[in-house]
Amino acid sequence: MKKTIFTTIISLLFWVVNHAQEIKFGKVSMEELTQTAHPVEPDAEAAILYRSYNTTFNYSSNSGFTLITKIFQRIKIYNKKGMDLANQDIYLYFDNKDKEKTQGIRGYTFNLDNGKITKSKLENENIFKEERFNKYYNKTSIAPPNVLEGSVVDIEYEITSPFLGNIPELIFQEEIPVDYAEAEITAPEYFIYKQHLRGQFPLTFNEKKGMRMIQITEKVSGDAGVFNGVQQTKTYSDKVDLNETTYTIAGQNISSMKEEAFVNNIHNYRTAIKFEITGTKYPREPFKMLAQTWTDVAKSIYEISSFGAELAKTNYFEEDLQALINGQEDPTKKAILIFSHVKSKINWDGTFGVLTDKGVTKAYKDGSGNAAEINLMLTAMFRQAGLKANPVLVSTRKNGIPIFPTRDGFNYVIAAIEMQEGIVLFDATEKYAVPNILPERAINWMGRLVREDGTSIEVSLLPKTPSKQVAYFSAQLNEDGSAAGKVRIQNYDQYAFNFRERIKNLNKDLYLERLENKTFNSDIEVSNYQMQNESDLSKPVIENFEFKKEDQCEIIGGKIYVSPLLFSGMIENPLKLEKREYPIEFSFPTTNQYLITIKIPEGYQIESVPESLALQLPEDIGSYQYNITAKANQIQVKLTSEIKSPLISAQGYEMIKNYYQQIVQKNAEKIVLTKI
Amino acid sequence: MRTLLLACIFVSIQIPISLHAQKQIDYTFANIPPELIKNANAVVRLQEAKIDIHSFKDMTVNKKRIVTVLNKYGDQHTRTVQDYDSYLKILSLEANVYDKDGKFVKKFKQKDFLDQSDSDGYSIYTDDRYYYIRYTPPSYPYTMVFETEYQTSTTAFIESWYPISNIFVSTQESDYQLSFDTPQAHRIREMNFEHFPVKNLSVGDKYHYRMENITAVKPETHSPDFVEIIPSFRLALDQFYLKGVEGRGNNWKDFGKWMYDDLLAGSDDLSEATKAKIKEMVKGKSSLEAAKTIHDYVQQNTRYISVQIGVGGWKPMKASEVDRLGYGDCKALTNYTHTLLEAAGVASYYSIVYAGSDSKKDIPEDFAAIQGNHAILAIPSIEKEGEITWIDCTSQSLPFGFTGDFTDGRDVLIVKPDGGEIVRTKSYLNEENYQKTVAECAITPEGAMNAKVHIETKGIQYNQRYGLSMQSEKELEEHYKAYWSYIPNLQIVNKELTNDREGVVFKEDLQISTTNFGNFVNGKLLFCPNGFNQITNVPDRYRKRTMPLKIERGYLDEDEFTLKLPEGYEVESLPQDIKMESKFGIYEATFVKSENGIISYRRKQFLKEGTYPKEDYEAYRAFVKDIARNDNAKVVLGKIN
Repeated sequence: MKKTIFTTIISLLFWVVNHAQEIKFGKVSMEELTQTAHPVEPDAEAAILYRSYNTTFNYSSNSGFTLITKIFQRIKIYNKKGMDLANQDIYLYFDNKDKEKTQGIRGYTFNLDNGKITKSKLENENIFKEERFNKYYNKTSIAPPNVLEGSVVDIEYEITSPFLGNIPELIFQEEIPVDYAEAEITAPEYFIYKQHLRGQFPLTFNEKKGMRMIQITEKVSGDAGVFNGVQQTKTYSDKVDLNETTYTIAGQNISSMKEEAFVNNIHNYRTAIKFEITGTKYPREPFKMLAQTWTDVAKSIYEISSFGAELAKTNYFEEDLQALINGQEDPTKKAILIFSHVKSKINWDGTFGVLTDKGVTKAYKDGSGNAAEINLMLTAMFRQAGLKANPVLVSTRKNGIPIFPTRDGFNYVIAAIEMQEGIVLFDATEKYAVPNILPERAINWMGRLVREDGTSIEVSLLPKTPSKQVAYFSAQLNEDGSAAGKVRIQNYDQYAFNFRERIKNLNKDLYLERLENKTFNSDIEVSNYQMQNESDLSKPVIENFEFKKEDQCEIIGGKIYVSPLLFSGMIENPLKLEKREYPIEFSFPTTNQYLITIKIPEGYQIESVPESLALQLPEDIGSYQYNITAKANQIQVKLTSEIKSPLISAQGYEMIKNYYQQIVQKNAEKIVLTKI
Repeated sequence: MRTLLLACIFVSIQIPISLHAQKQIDYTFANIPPELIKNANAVVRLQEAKIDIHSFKDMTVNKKRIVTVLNKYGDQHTRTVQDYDSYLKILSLEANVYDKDGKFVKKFKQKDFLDQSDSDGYSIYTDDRYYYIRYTPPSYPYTMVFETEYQTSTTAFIESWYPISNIFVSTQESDYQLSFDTPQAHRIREMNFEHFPVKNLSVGDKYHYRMENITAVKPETHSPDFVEIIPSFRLALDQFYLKGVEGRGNNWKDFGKWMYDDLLAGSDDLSEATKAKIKEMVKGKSSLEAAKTIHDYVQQNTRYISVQIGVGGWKPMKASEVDRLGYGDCKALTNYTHTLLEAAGVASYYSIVYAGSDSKKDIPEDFAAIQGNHAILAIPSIEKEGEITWIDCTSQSLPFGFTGDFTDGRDVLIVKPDGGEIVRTKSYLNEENYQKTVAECAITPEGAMNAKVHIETKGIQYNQRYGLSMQSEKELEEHYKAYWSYIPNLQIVNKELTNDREGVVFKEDLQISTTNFGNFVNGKLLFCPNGFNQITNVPDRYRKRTMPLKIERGYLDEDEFTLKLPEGYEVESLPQDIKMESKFGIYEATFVKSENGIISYRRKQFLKEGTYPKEDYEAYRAFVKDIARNDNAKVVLGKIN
């Protein structure tokens, strides 16, 4: 038997867990009931006092192994806001052969009534089973009775699953505090697992070997059963000693997690453990590796027909491709031609996947497909055209960051060409995508480029250079405080992509309404609006318009006060809260430039202008430059603000918050004009 | 008045007769009149409904909907959905897709439709389900032809006619026919027909309406609820069937009687023990005090869980069950509270309402039928005839007798043992929605500020604020930093929140500070005396306003701020006192400088609820803009030499 190897991700911390053993289903302590607020997080609406997962493999001669997971949870409800957390929804996967089931649902709600503990039993009427909740899941819902402020609710149930590979991720950290949580998984020697830990809270980890006896019955037919010329089926029955490994993982006093602004996916920081099945070793069968290294992932994914075989298909597009790239030798031009062809021919149906659903041929014919269909088709065409192209497995932002070599961690595919100048990424799911500009959902850490020969490399999905936006303003101020002038905004790179995607379905009137009312710090009137390069993707998309603005200036005591940035620039700190738990993740690196020229009204002179300012964040994270010059009746401002590294650690929060504070303060400063 | 308000929102266009004449629908995109493309994400080429009422418990409905979708926002308007339950049988279901040239692309048969629970997102269980398809076109535009036919015994809901589907949708042709196999007593409701080119082709009991070529509209802020301004036709039978239960009534009195007898009666059972407990609880109390005690008891001892099975979607769970389980949906909790009040000898009536904070929708007095989406309880006063105390038994936190913006100021159905009655709920009018802010603040020579702020809110403003008392520290920090977004670098030093449930007043006492209250400009210190209650949002400007202006709720804010100036500075410029009055409200602000280096700022802002013609929108916007500008008026301080 192949020994399971524990990865070093798990920090083995040995401290005594003395909390657990006192908790028993159906028996509650006075202390738990009288608690009115969580001792560590007093404003928590509820807390998980105890949770245990216990997974074992049951063997029966009829159906072989099934996975049985027993879950017991004790939750304390502190106030009305926490009431809904007493309910539980269990989603049970099914396919056309098998399904997951719940059984043995039991529960109690404990309350204090005049100092006495009362106990309400969970009855069948509190359990709701809904078949075919949707295409994939049945649903069991539990609504415990008599849940009040202060209640303690115990719920216990079992999930049996025929889907062996699928031990769900064990969550230790929740939106409410978890006082104690434990998971025990006992796996027979036939199933080889590997553990992967996420999050910041230390968990204890324990491994124990054991043995039990099971009755194995096997029917054998065919050659072995030919007897006296009559084919027979023979049944073997054997008592077998089964070696098992029990893994115990526990954690205590795990603080709650709350959403923060500028976090791609809070789940990436959640303390949880995933058991990954890496192989099977059944008796009388060789060890079957499922996935363990990146090479395995790459190889195994090519073996799946809805990936490898789909990627290998070429006949459905060959004719079209021939016509498309006929006579074209330049690889870059070929790539662009093919990319445009796929983008215009196939519409993305909004679903993800590393595997095709209806298949590339049908997708090509229908003109619609999922991410895998579109980008595998793209890769296949690139290859057919002689380009060194490969698929890149991606996990979308919503899906989180995969932490170990696994196919399951990925839910999206894009294409890459290894060119002379480096790897160029393509995603044909969006019409306005250009090489190396991906939709935001795909810009998530690292992708895995998988080659046919089984080799694979990590590819950074984050744009390497900052995306640029340049805005030009020229304004004439009037004595009554109004202003009029021209604006030109040039969007490059990611900005151009986002802009084009945003406006493509928008009615022009509606867009202008938004431009007038919502785009800037205050409303303006727009006229002579023009857009350039809306569909010429090789150029920046440019907006040109004229504006009028009432009340651009404040007139106080005969003097005119006006912002050098007019109605633009950052005026509120995006980071307002005092504390930060998780890193700050901006979407992509950016450079924003404002070039502003202001002519002052006739009969006025410039009394003062703000001072120029330059700020620099450490480690080249970003910078801000504010240059202002005044001469005669004209003021010129050049403002450049740059975030080169869009991922900033939580420790850097105070620094970056202060940085923005200084910017906001500077941007609020005014020019003063006086009458001559 | 209504006519005036509604004129010209929707434009009906004239198109050549030839298109009318040929009945064959042309799926080609190019042939859609350009007027119907403007502002549209989808064009309803044809919407057809044929309803055959065979008997009071048997009806067949045949629907066809052809929609040309212009972009991805238009996909939803294909409405390729058919819901069902155990009383509804789908006879046929099919969808066909055509490309922009009208060429056939794809067919969906019934088996290609996905089948899913009609989970509303808040029910823990429901037995309603639906079939739907998800279609991604290779490109836009495309045309979806959706056809469905079903037979049902539930005649309590009869397919209505709404020829205008939604905002951003134009309609080329809509046709609605309803007929009876044998005459059935019924009533109808035609809404807003007078403002639209509705063709009424009805003959006797055979209803037939058509409307053609209506352009799409886009939404506008501060406008009436969309369904209130579009045409509609509804029909209800005097005798009907609701998920296996027979119903009757052609006016609210009779309809209410049926509801009482068949849906409510018998749900008010209660164990003797509970009855005794309630009697003990309310001993010696007046009926209103008793009601309050019971209301608080229900709030403390139940929670909201929604389970919808069969006719249970309209029939409350028994009171004894709620008593035992400690939960129920709005119907169950209302009935439970009613039953407990009954045990205490206090009369109350189960009532049905269209709940919603955004608009106050009435149960129409002239059209009795199953409607509404929420249940509340009416407790009639014994002292004063016609006075009612309303309670929303579903709310876990609203004070007794305060129902808030979810059910205020609208017509609801109260169900009495002898029949139904339409009654208006309590309105929170204008100055009843009150906020008072008092602040004492000191400014330092560096432009920093420390302040004590006291905010009191009543009426709907209480409603919008009292939830703060249940929020976490982080949520409160977020709230105040957003509420005072115009104070940079705000620190919340201290806070105390008091929810006075008796008086229905919410009190916020805060101590706040910032390092940047004022700005230095060339040695002068500029700051805004209205530091704590500024209007910063001006309603959007429209190049062409098409909808009437609706101010859903009025309010009154009063502010008194004293600002202590920093040592060594004197006032160089003080904003002028202002008073503005318009038909929308009043705004006043005064600035008084006293000897001891204090500026006293007083402000009053009053907004009236009301509906005005679209021409008034710009004036309203100008009024709010003036308020915003004056709220931002600055004081200039100079150094004393």
